[in-house]
Amino acid sequence: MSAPLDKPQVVSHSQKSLNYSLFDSKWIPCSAKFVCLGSSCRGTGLMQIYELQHGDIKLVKETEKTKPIKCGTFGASSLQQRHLATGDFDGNLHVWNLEAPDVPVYSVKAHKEIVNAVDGVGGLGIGDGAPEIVTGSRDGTVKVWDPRQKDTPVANMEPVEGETKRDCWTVAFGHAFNDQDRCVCAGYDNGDIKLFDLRNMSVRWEKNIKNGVCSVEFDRKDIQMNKLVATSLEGKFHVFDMRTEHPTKGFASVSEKAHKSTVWQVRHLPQNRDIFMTAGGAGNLHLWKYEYPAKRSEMDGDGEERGVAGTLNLLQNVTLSTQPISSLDWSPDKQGLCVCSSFDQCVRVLIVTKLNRV
Amino acid sequence: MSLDTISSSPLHTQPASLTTHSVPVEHLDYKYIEKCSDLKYLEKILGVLRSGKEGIYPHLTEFCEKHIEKLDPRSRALRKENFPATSASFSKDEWDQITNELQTWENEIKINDVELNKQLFFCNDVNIPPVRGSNCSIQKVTYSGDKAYSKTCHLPRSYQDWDKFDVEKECAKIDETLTTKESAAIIDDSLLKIQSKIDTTGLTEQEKVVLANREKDKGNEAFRAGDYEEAVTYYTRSVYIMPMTTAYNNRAQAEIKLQRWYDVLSDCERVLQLEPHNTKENRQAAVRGGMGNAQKKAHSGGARGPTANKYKVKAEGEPAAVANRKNLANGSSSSGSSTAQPANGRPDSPGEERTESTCASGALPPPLARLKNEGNQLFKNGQFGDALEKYTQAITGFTEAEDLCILYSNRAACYLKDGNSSDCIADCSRALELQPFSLKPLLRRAMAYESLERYRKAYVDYKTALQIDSSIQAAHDSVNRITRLLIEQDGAEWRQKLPEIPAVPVSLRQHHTAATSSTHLHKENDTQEARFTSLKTEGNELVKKGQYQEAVGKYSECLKLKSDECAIFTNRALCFIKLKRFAEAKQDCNSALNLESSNKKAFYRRALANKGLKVRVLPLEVNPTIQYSVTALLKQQRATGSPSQPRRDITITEVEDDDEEGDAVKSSSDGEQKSTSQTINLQPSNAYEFGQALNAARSLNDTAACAQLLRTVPPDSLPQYVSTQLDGHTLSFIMKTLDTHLLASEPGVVYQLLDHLHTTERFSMVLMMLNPDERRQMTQLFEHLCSVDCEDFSQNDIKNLANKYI
Repeated sequence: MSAPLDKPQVVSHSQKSLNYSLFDSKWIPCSAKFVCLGSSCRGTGLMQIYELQHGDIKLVKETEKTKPIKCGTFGASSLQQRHLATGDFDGNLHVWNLEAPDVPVYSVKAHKEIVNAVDGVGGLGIGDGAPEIVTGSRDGTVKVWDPRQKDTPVANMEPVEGETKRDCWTVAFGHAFNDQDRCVCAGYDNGDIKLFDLRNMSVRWEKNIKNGVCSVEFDRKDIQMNKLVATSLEGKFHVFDMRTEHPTKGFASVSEKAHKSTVWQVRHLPQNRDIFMTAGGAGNLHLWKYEYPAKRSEMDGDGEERGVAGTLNLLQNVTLSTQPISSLDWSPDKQGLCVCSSFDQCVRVLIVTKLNRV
Repeated sequence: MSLDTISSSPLHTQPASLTTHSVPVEHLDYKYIEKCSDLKYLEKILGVLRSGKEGIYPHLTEFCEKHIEKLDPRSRALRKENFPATSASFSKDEWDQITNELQTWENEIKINDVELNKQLFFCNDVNIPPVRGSNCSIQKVTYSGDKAYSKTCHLPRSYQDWDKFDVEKECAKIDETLTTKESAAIIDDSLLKIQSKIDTTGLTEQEKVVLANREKDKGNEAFRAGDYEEAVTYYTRSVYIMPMTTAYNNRAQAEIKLQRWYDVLSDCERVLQLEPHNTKENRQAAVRGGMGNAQKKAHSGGARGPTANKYKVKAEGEPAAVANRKNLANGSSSSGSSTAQPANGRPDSPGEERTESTCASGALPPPLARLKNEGNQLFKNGQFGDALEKYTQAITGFTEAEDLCILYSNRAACYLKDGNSSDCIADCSRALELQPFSLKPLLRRAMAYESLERYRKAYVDYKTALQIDSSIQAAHDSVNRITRLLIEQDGAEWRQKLPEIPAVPVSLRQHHTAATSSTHLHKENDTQEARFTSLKTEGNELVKKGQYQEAVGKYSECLKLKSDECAIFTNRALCFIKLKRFAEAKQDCNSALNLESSNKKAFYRRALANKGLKVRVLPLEVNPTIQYSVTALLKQQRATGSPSQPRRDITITEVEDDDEEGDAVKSSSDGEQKSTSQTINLQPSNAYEFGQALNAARSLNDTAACAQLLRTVPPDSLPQYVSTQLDGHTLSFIMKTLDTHLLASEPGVVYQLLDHLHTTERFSMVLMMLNPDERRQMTQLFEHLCSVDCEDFSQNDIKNLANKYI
């Protein structure tokens, strides 16, 4: 064990109390600004842009929308445009130009019910191939959208007729390392994790982790699937090594309990895929590092290759609030800088130090 | 997750599960806890203690925590709630650094942001692949309604379930293995190829930089995960977007792992092409490492001699491929020292001089600069013949006096090293024609003359050189030597037989007044001396107060007065390190080492500076290069072991504001004294003494002494004693000692020592780096320990302990 001060420290750089419920916060790429998305007390949607100014958070722009906004992503936009894609309570997917946020540049009624999660790939230089947005909704469907195609999704993943529709809580892109390959991972309220292969248009892998899946994320979107983290409702999370798939045993995984309360979100450090932060229902953040095993795969008795899971190392944990942390986003530009929003109606900018030394 | 789930989440209630595994009250006792080695049970006890059901005992709780930490430092029970750090959690320096860094970033990114918005947006739709499905044969219709869900659908927990839900229990299940059936996999390996080229048309410079860095990061990560092939691919992508030295360097590193020596070499070459003025040690070390390695292979393949073509790398090589950077760095330094002639502390030891001339060549046109730098590189590697060719090429293409002088001078150095004294003299003369009274050519010519036994001319040249710079010790020595020889040869009248000593032009005298030793200047020198001392003390005072910036100013003034004071350089280097100006720190250390080639502080600080540089530049390469510097330091220690060599006292008092650093410096210099006197202090009273003694014992391979040493050390303080010293060899040496000397007579002590040793800092790290032999030794020790009966410990204890080690 190293001395306590050699560990990464989480510094609360600045925080701001707001007068509305925050659902998501995202850094605007290549800027010192971030967007906060939420719902005002009147039941309308709010989209606010804040900027870091000499250690303080200053409101730059505010726009009100008719429906509360649940989630957002910049993942499918180019660095030049930096358009924000959002999903709202009414099932709409909008893409906004933040310079002129009154009228969306792309708009579609994506789902019948609330859009719980959205993720993008193909923009910002992350991921080869077309820019695509994936949405997951309470109506049980997961849809992939291309901002160049109006009205209809380019892929739609829904249960067969007559089957109970499960609430999709989270979606994530991954495996986008060349033009053709791309995967979508979706997590459902019943503990199902499904991995859809968009190239073959098939379900590639399924797993049930018994409790609702609150958040899934690949360690990086634009490489061959490497690791997948899935967090769950009862305070555990699982890390799957996605490199080696055993015909019967699937992917090797390691799980860890973290929060004794729902793990709301997981976010990998953009500069180092082996470090990630989980955000918990009791207002705490845990910073983890995945340590690879000596050999990532081994032969089992039947001559099949089987993955070997690594270990998880808790680097730091902090308690920020008594309410759940609803979202967390690392700055893509500055290592260690992150913004998180919590249900105590507070947005915080945090600095995690010494990340390059772990 | 919507708002409903938030409000319905029952997970904030206090767990009430502890009753299920009750702990008898008598177990809540210091003695019981101390003896208990069952981790699970201890965690239960801790749970009870923390819950306060049986009363609140803060000390007992703390004791229990400590005991658990001893058994398993990574135990989950030890995790505590922390709060975010504030400025109070950091030292002022650290906090300033954090805030300043953020502020700088904020300013930079805002400029970038504005620029990005200004840029004309043009649509590069051509590069983007078409919309999915638009040219795809699979119909969306057939796809939607996917049969994915046709299996029995899992139901989520019902709301009643949640009432009975026990977080503790649910979380405890983590330790049980997950045995769930999963669907059969669809393995699809086709097209799993990462393209090594990226279409970057239409991207702005800024985007390209971002992209290139990102690809490099991916490479780094793959490297860390051990996927070297993948890492190479990503580095290739990175350099395809934008050639960067770091990416080339890293690719070379990955290629070393893959043992593709040709590629390593070409990458190293490219780094030098891209950044010929690159003085950053890490890269050069990397490059030299690579080259040294390749060269070694060439040697083993039968091509001997320093001028052997280094490109003749034998592909079949030996299997004993150098596995990591440390070895590489060693390899390079050893190959360098074996090929280079012993420098004997002469002022023109190649490494330092080269860098200097590199800096001077700013005006050279790129191809020539490259040639020259290649030459310098070759010179450093000891390939004087090849270097000679490069310099010759550079000379033929160039006419400007100042640089030509340097080139001639460098070529002269090559000739000198090759023993071709007459050509050396010719080149030096040419250089001196171009730039009269430049120091290096004069010294080289003097050496060449001396080696040709033309002592009179050598004498004249040395004298001239000394007029320019009177501080060159080697020149003084040579003058004395030659004087003796000449007196022997020519008798008392030798001076009259000397050729005319070139009258140093008045202009030059004026130019070097400080160096000439006329009497009236002596007085001035004295006052300067006083001023110098006062400035120095002022500087030291400032360092003590932590005002490094001001201290740098003072030291710089000192150096203006007297540029040959080693201590000032090292002190200024310390300030630079504190100010995080590592490059300058390094330069100072180099200057200090120029003046005093065995200065420990300079070595240590250079290592620190290198570390600092690395942290910024290449996180991947931190350790090896530090090790590199440290090995150099160790070698230096051995080398300076001869007692006859007059060691200059460092008169300046080291400002001890950083304990750790001070200690390390001290212990290393003490270590030297130990190794010279060859005695081992067997009664260490602190960590340094212990460290010295251990090192001495190890270098003599004296296990008996080590055993004696270990006996005298209280086992519980062993971790502190050994902490800074612990490495694989030390560990295996200790193991060996325990096994051979202590086990038979005092098994209890052995157990105690082992029990404490594993709590040392970095222990797990060291453990990882042990080689199989050392591991076997360790297993043996534990086997022996198991077979001994002793009342101090049980078989179980041994097993527990062995788990920590093996």
